[in-house]
Amino acid sequence: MIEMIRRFLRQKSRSTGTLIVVGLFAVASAFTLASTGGQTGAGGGAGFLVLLVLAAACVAKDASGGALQMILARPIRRTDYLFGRYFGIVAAFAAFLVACSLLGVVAKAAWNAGGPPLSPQAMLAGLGYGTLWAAQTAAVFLFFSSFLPGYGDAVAFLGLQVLLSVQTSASWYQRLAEAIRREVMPAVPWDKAFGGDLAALAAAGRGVLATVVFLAAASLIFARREFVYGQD
Amino acid sequence: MIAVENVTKTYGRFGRRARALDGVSLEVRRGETVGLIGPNGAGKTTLLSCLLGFLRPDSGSIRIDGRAVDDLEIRARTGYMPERLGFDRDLTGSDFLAFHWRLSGGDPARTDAEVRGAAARVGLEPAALSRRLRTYSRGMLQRIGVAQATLGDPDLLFLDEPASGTDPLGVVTVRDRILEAKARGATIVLNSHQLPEVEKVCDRVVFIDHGRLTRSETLTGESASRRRASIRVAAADGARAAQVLGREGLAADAGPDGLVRLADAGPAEVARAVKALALADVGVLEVRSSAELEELFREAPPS
Repeated sequence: MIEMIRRFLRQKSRSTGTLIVVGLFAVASAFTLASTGGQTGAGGGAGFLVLLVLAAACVAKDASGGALQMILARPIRRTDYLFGRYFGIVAAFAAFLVACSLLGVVAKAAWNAGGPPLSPQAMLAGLGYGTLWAAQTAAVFLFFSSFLPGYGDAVAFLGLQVLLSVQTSASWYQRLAEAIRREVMPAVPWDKAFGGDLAALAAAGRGVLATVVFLAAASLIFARREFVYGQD
Repeated sequence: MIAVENVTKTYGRFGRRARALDGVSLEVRRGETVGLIGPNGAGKTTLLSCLLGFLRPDSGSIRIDGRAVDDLEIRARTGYMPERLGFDRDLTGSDFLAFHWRLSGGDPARTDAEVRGAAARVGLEPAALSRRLRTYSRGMLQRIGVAQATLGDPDLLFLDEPASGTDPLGVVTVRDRILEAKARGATIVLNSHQLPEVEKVCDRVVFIDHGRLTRSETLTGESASRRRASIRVAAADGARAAQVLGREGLAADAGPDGLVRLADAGPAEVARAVKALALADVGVLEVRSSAELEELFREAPPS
C-alpha cells in the first residue's frame, strides 16, 4: 500500500495542471490563514475544490488507461491499490495544508495583513482538523470512484451535495436529506469534539462510522469489479 | 499449466447482450508459447482479461497451476503487457520500471540495476529513462511495456499486441525478449495480429472467432500442423518450375512474381522440389517453409 501512496503522490506532484490549481488555492488559503491567525479555511470551499482536483477520476483514469490492469497483474490485493489511492488523497491534502500554513507565515511576515497574530497551536489544529475532514470526505469520494467510470465520481459527489442542499416543501425529502447529512455525511466540528463537547463527539462518532462504512463498501465493490479495456 | 474449461463471458445487460466468449476450453502446458489469433472483436482480449482475473467468466473455470487466477502466488510469477499503453504519463521511464519492480516483490536494493538492465534489453537508451513517459513515442512505450512485463523474469507471460506500433528493430527486439523468456521455460500467451511474428515465437496457435475457439494448430515439433513451402525462382521461370514440380507429383502453384507455392509440404517434399528444380536447371533464389498462418486465418474453421 505504501508503494501505491507513493505512486499517487508522485503522479500528483508531477502533474503541472494539478500543481498550478492546488498552488493557487494554497496562496488564497494562506491569505485567509494570515488574516485569521491560523485557520486556513481549508475545510471550506477552497479545500473542497482542492480535494475535488486531487480525487476526481483517481481510479477511473488508471482503469481506462491500462495502468490499473498492469498493477493488478502484480502480487498486490485490490484493497491495497484502493486504500493506496485513499491515503494518497489524504496525504496530498495534508501536504496542501502544510503548504498553506507555510505560505501563511510568509504572507503574514511580508504583508502583515492585519488580524490576530499567528498562533502555532491554531495552525497545527487547523492542519489536523483539515486532514480529518479530508479523510472523511475522501471516503465518500472513493466510494463513488470504486464503481463509476470517468469523472462520474466527481459528478456523483457534487450531485449528492446539491441534492442534500435542495430546499423543498416536501417534508419527507427534508427529513431524508437531514438524516443523510446527520448520519451519513455529518459535518463534524472537530475543534469542539477535541474540546470534549458531547454533541460534537457524537457527530465525530457518526463521522468515523460513516467513513469506515464508505471505505468498506468501496473495497467490497472494487474487489468484485471487472475491468474491461477492450472487447477484442 | 493454464487450464481453461468451458468459459463463457457475456458483456452488457438485458436486451443488449454480446457474448464475447462462448464455451472456450484451452490448455497451455508449462513452458509452451501459445498465440491467440482471430479477427477484431473475436474475444482474444476478453480471454486474456479472464486469464488475468480482470474479468470473471459467467460460467466455466480457469486455473493456473491448480490455483485461482488472482492468487497472489500466481501473480508474483506473472508478467503482463496490455494492448493499450495509457499508463502514468507523468512518471519517468525509470520511475515506472522501478515501481513495477518493487510491486513485483523485487529486492529494493537491486532496483537500479534491474531497471537499467530491463531498459537495455529492449533497446531503450539510458537517457530515455530520465524522460517522462508522455514524451515517449509509441514504439518507445511498447518497448518499456515489454521491459515492464519481463521484469524479474516471470514464468507466466501474457502479452497483448506487444510489438504493435514498433519499428522493424523494435519488432525484432520484442521477438528476442519473447524467445528469451521461452528459452528459460516461461509459459507465454501472446495475442497478436502480426502473424509472421506469432509464427516465429509460438509453439501453437489457437484461432478464436465470435468467442469460440475454432481451431488449434501446432507449429513446432513432430506433431506440427501442415506447412506450406514457398520457392522463389526468376519470374520468367515460374511457369516452368510449376511444370517440373507437377511432374514430380508435387502440387505447385506459380505466381507471376516467380513465387512457387507448395501446399502440404514437409521437409522431404521441399528437398525433392529443390532437387527437381536444380536438375531441370531452374535457379532457386529462395526457399521458405512456414505454417502460412495467413492462409489458415482466411480458411473457414474445420468442422
